Amino acid sequence: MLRIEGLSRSFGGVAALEALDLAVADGEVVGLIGPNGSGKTTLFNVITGVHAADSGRIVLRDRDITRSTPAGIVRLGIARTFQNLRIYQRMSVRENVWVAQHSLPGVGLLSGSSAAERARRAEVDRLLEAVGLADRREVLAGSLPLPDQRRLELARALVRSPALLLLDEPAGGMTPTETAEMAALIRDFAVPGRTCIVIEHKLDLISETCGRLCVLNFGRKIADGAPGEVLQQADVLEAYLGGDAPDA
Amino acid sequence: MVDFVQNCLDGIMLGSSYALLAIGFTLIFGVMRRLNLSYGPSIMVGAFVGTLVYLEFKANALAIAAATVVGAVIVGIYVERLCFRAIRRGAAVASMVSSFVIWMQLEEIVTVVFPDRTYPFPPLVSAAPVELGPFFFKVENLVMFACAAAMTVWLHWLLQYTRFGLALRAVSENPRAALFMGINVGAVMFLAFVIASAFGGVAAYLIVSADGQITPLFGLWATFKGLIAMMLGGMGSIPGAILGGLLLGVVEAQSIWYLGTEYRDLSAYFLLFLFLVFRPGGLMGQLAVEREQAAMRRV
Repeated sequence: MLRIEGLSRSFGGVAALEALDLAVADGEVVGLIGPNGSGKTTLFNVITGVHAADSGRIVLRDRDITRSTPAGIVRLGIARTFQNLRIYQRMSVRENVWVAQHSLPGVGLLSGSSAAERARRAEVDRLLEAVGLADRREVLAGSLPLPDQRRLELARALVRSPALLLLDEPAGGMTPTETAEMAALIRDFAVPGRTCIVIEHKLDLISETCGRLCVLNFGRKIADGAPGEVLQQADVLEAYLGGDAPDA
Repeated sequence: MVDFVQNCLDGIMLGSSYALLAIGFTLIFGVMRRLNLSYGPSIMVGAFVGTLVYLEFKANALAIAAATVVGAVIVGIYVERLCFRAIRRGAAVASMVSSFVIWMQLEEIVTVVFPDRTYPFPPLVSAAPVELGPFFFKVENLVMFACAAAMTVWLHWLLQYTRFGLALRAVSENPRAALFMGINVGAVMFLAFVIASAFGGVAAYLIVSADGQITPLFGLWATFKGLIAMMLGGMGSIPGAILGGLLLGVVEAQSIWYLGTEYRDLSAYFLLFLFLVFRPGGLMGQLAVEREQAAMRRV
């Protein structure tokens, strides 16, 4: 599905990603962890075209997308959420999801009342129902509390039925209870049948949703494998957990 | 009292054309966060294209109106390519300054091509005023108001009920996030410019046909009126642009009646002064200003 080969990106001489290799198979759910500044979000930004790669290649289903524009990458089937939420505060909850259908095939500038358009709108409502926001669909998105805004961003990412879903700290800023709910939502609804990369510091969520774990440190991959094994490796414990083994 | 109400009604009619001008300004500012200073001169060129069609072909009102709008849109596209598309990111001042330079260029071109400076412009309608109880309405003012109202309703429909409107609002609120929705941000900005120019073209036609003449100074006049109306309503707010235009029209009409014609523009500037002192965000933009001030305090 996704192949990253020798990917490098630096900012002002500081390497954020350094010769990174990563392959994600169809249907695989990969957790991406690492200390702050290890290059996780930069990797998402380079994959989605926010930042250009200095060198290396990104291949999605045998198609080189290294130099594609963000809008072009979205059309190819990659959707993402953001660590710092990018919700449209002045739009309603429903409009926030509706807007993400913009470049789906057959969507025109002047949406009519065709059967296809009605189906698309029904899909928006179905997703809002699934993430628990159906009763607030007409509310301004900016008035939602943070956990609900994260759910809304998840619904917005899913509305295009992306082939590859990139979740950047989907439980960031949430309480343990909210995190558990988000983990269940991701596990049961977002990722089944979909290829997914999840950045998250909360290891409970990672271990509940991901079948594979990849650890970055200073822009390099230092471990890759089953979560149970990876979290026992000495260099991972040193870099990410400060030398202590995780409780869970 | 009858005079006061009559002035208010006249002002609303006049203000509806200001509202169209302000909508053009605010649409571009709302989407691009940049000020297009050559907006007035662009629609002035459109009006001169209409004049040319009238003088050369003795065309009817509809053809002149169409020529004015098409002329304004073509010049608007020229401005967008030169001052906004070419310098899009992080250079709002550069765009504003270059649009000022294009203003000078457009005015110079018109002065050279139309050396007589003042040209006749045919009226849209020639009919006796309509009497309604103690009130009188000029037919051209009623047409102006009806056109402005229809266009405003259409714009509301476009922005609130179509996917293009949704995309435009998305680009306006967060252009970077709009990229991740798969929205072609450049195309949306371009279309916003085209719509703003078309609104300006219609406003130019309605105003100039009511005046019966056109001069190159119309560009300056339209820029001032549009900018003031936008500032009164709140920059970037469409409802604000409408309210600002109507308020400006009413204040001007009252000042003409009670103070004299020479105080018309002065009253507009005084009104703007009051707003800048006591409500700098305008009628609808005060919340945004307060948010900005709160953010500055946090910094």
